[in-house]
Amino acid sequence: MNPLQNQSTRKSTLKSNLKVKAKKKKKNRGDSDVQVAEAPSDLSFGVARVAISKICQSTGFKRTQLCALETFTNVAVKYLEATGKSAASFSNASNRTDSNLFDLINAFHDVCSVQGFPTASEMHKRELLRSGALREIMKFANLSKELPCAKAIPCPSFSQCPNPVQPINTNTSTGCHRPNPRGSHIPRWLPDFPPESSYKDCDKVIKERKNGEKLWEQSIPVEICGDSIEGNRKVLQTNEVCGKKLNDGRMELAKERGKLKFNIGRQKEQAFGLEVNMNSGFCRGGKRVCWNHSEMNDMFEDGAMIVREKKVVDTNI
Amino acid sequence: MNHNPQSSEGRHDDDAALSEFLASLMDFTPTIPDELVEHYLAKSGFQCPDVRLTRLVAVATQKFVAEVANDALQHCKARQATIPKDKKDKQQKDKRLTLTMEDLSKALREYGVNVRHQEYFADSPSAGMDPATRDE
Repeated sequence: MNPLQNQSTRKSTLKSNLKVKAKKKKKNRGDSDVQVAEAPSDLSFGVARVAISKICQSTGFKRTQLCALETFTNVAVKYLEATGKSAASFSNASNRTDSNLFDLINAFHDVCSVQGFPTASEMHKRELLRSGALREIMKFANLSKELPCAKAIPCPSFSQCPNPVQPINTNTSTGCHRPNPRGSHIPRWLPDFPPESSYKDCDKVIKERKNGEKLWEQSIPVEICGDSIEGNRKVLQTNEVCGKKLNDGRMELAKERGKLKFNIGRQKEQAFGLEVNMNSGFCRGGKRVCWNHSEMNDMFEDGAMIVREKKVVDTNI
Repeated sequence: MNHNPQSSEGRHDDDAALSEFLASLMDFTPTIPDELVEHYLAKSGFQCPDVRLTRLVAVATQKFVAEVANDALQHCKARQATIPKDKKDKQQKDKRLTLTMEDLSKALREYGVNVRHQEYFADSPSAGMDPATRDE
């Protein structure tokens, strides 16, 4: 059976009868016969049409009817697909996914069986590599002139495209394959990662802000400054907390910290320079956290801060 | 006994010719581009890592198209040969080698492809039919 026969007949007749059958509706029975012709891919069909017209021109034709050229292109495309389909079926019948030369020769035998080829009657006796169909193809390639295609098909360069679409993997060296430096676990259709410089400041020089402000993480190491203490104010000693010493790489507080002031209420708490209204906020109810350096060493046991209640001493403002 | 070494030598020659042909396929540029062939082969399920086999399919398709075009050309020339010759028409005949549906259908018929060209277009499927058959 010639695989081209029924399909090409339907395609060619349907294409010329497109206007007549355009108004036909599908039967309600749900028949699988499609009355409307399927339009082939525009790009691939256009390229095939150029190649077919080039071959016809080399044969000797000067002009062609448009419908004849399109029909001829359809037939050639069907020939291509029939060859590939037949080769794939032969390879699948042999428990293989990749087709080889023997599958292709058997496919040529199938496609050329209608027209015939030399040694077709001895096809089953001869070796496949000595097939007459293959010999004919070799003769044609040796005798015919080389006709490159009129226009080269532009191959998309993945380096220019920001989000390249991965083509069908035909496992050929002529295909455009983009190396995946990110690793095989990341799909190629995902966009690239943003550059590190956009979200990382590891190599950047820390710039000071207008008012000399610095980020807390980028502060310079502080020293114990006991002379600047006023009264009971004490600056947190960053290097000695709970009797422990911090590593050099850790964050350290500034040398001199500004005085923190809150709303001054009637009751002041002279502790640590914080004038906090003890009846509001987190110190409500008399329970407060007081940082008294002299007592801290006693209070801190195993690094745990003990919260205790303390009476508020009324002081005059 | 005497045939075996000769047949083996013949096989070696055939294999050498085939290997040379497959190697020469990389230098031969078929008219049908490799990308197009790969597209249609992949569409039909053909999978092969060897580029030479893709080129072989392209050459086979080119051979098929060339043979059909050659047959159509012969039909076209034969049709023009039946027309009475005139001096004025001779100059025009060389320019009138046109690929028509008629010649193409005759050429494809030998390859088992039936192509039928519609003579005219009708506004409805039942146009031109007899009233008796239309009622049925």
